[in-house]
Amino acid sequence: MNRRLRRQNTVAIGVLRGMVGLLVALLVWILVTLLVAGWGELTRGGFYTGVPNIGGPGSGVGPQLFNTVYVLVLSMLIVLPIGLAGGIFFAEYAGTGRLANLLRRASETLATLPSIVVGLFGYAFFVQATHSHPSRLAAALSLSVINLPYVVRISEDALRALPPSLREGSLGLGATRWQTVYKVLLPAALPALITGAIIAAGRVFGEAAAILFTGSNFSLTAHSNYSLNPFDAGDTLAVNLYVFRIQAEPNVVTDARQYADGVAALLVVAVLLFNVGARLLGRVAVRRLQRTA
Amino acid sequence: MTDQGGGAIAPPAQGRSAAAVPGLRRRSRVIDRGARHVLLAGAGINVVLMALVVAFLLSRAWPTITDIGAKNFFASADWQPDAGIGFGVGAFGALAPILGSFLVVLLALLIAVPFALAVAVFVTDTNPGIGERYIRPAVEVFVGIPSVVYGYLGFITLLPLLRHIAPPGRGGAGILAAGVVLAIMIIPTVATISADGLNSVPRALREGSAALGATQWQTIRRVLLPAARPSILSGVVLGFARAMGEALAVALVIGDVNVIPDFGKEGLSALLEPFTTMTVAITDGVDKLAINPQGTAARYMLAVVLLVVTFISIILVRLVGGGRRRGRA
Repeated sequence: MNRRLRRQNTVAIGVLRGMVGLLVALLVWILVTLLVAGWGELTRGGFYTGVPNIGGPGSGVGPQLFNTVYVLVLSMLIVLPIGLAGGIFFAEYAGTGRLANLLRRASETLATLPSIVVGLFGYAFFVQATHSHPSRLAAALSLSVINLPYVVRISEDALRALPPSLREGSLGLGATRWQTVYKVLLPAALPALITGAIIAAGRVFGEAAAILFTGSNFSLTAHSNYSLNPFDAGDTLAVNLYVFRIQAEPNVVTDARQYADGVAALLVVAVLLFNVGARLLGRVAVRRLQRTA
Repeated sequence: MTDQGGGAIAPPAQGRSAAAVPGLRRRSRVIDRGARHVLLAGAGINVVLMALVVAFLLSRAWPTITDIGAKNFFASADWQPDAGIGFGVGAFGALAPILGSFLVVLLALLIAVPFALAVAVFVTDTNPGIGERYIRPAVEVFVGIPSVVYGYLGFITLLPLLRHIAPPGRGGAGILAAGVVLAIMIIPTVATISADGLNSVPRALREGSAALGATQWQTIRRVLLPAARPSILSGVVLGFARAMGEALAVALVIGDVNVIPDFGKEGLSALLEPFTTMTVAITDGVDKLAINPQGTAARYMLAVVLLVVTFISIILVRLVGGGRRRGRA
């Protein structure tokens, strides 16, 4: 009996470790496959500055890269102040009343909405209801809807993670709640807030479905020529990777395949950079807090 | 380098405390009240947005009920929304996309949940050292990879493999490919939430079980997993919701055919057939939103169905009561 149990234990734990090993191997394989496939493009300078030119020489992602950064910055400008305000409210003012509960639930629901649903909403609200056409502004606003609950949460968490003594000390000295937030809590939470903002920005980088419906011009080759007008439409890198399927069969057209491989690898590298960046900043933040404590 | 954090921790060091000067004090009270309202607005915009989303989706989807009829939408499998735009020959029976969504997501969960649980147990119980140091950060990186990249990866690696066994003509795209891509996409989500649940199982339970002579596996199966069930269920439901809502990754590998595969005749090999989902059916119409009003209304109706699925998922997570402490999303 006892031996049977022990053998069962060995087998079960072995299978479990084997599954984890398999998964890790798969994850490594995913990274290596994507990076190796796109390496040629990633190391070619023209890839970052050229325009998509499938079937021709010197194809690149210049406009898409520009659009991605443009939409990212625009949506961060919209969502960071609003989300930070919401986070401060939940952490410092809301309490557990009925209103606070309703607000929290709304935020939670918004966070679970599929991005394609937000895309259709964005098309109806930011594009049709304003009698305009798909634009980078509409895309940035839709991305803000997707990211708002997330920014609210990271702001709330950053403030809640601070030691209560900070808050109590400031209030005890006669500061108002807003003075406490503005002069004591926000500076102390700044490192965590920056880390969170970087992760939020990384999410925007890879989002595609919502932009497809609100800011895309559905074309692999059309591009906005680096205009700064927020009312211009423009595909981002992630959208480009999808639009690509409509425009060209990658397994048939070799140039197209090479181009898409490059885009996918670039997205992966960007995610890694955002991740490492956020982690490094987080570590610096912890060290600084330890020094001041 | 000036130490901003240190200065902030001791505000009275800056001298003018508001309490010391009466005029200043009134002003800071007014500011304080104003700030409260501004912050409330920041939190309240969530409710406004949520209400707008529901209102706009419903109003755009409404023509589906009035023009096409609920029965024709929900009980018919004839989905040709873009056929002869403007000539009234389109068909808007959404049974195939709705069925496809559930089928693909179910398959994804069947593949993903065992692996996610294995990772969660590995990280929290059998190998916490390696787990916390390497596996958890690695898994977190994979949460951040854009879903469209997963779809593209499936497109360039999985489809050429499946091409040899799948029915010809669609290059290997089908239900199985979509299920696998979605599974890989949601494993990190399910694993992370389950691991949080396993971590919060009281040590006493673990030690008690071991002290009673249970093997490690017995402890995992009979004590840890049941104790963490609320979190695991939350993780599974959220993975379900995420897979349901994924559009582009699925669109790249499912083959996009609006015919329900004949499982009765083909058995499990029907999983190799191309199919469609709600999100894919919506995505197909992205370049015809303005020119095909009926098709667009039907697609908004699919979005309403997705919205309802999302609501049900959130209610389920609340009912099982795991994972989401302090009302966090």
